[in-house]
Amino acid sequence: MRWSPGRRVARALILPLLVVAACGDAQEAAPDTTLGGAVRVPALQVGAASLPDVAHGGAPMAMEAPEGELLLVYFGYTSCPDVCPTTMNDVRVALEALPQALAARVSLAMVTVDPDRDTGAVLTAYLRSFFDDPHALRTDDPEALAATAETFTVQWEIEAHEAGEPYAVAHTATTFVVDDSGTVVVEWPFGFEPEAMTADLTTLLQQEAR
Amino acid sequence: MSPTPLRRPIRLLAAVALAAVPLAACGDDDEATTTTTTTEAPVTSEPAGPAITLDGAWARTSPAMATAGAVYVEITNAGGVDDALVGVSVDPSVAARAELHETTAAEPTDDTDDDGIGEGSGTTMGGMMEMRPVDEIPVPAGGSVSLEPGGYHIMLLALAAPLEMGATIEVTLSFAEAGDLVLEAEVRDSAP
Repeated sequence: MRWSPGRRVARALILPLLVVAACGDAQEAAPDTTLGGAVRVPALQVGAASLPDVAHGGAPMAMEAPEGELLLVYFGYTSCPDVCPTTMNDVRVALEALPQALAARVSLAMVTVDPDRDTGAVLTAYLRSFFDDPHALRTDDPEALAATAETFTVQWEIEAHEAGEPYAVAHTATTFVVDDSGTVVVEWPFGFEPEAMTADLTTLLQQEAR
Repeated sequence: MSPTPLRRPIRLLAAVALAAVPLAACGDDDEATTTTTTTEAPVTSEPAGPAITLDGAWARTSPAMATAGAVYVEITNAGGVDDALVGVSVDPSVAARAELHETTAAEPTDDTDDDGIGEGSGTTMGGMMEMRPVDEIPVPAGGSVSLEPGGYHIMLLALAAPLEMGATIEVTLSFAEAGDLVLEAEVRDSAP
């Protein structure tokens, strides 16, 4: 069975979820068990972080959703052939499965971890292939990018390469769901099913509406 | 915590006892021998050696301005000899080159380097994925291997043109034992 890479990935993804669950047990605030994704305790607070949204003129965008809405945040790069487009397509499928009134309250932001190749035009066009009005977050300032990534506990590493040669970027492939207070309310690991994303979004949007 | 739905089920290799109808015999040492196959008409090499079947091939549509692509397929070896996918190539009209890659869950690194490239720090809950070239993908006798999102895949580099929904591209797969097989992959948004 050692030839099934998908299985290895799945096992590696389940482990951190269990760790998070165990952490939750040790805290007084129980995670919302109605959600399929991972709920971290204490929750990440990311609202203080912001990056330029090059899909909207480069204005700084804070990592929080508009009131009563949800913001999905993903760190990736457009030269990524496998993980990133798989996730973007899964999110697209999940949003299309939502009733229109709910889908209108969800937006997506992708932060490029490869600003050298992902110009503003490239990143914006890439995201618009998947979504109607995405946020394309990009900065040339390595420290600003690192600070935002750290807020999300995101890691990435650019593969050593010769100038001009293609390279891969290892990166945290989690999709973070952020509410209007800048709180990460649930995290979806790579490979999380679109149907489960739709279910989590429905649960969260109904909670927000209360 | 409730069970987390994950995309990739555990595959039972033994369950993939597909009908392997020999339609063409490949010469052992004739690298020019090429066999065309489609998902509708699986083709195998000679039954005495490895019997390679390619199934469910697809290529992902390339987002606007994307320079990279990915091709996926399930490879089954119904024969009695271990084989391995050792190379892949495409016509320059598709992409400048193709490589065998594997996506894996990366070990969280304890970054103490100062290369300035930028790495988040602090506690991580994992989830970091990396992609690396592989020299070969084993296809054991009587077994199968899936090239699928989040695992092995064929990476297309420097796409010559966007991969558009409904198109078909040809990719030549080179096996250590079975020789070359030409894969016809349909361009789709997600797995068939």
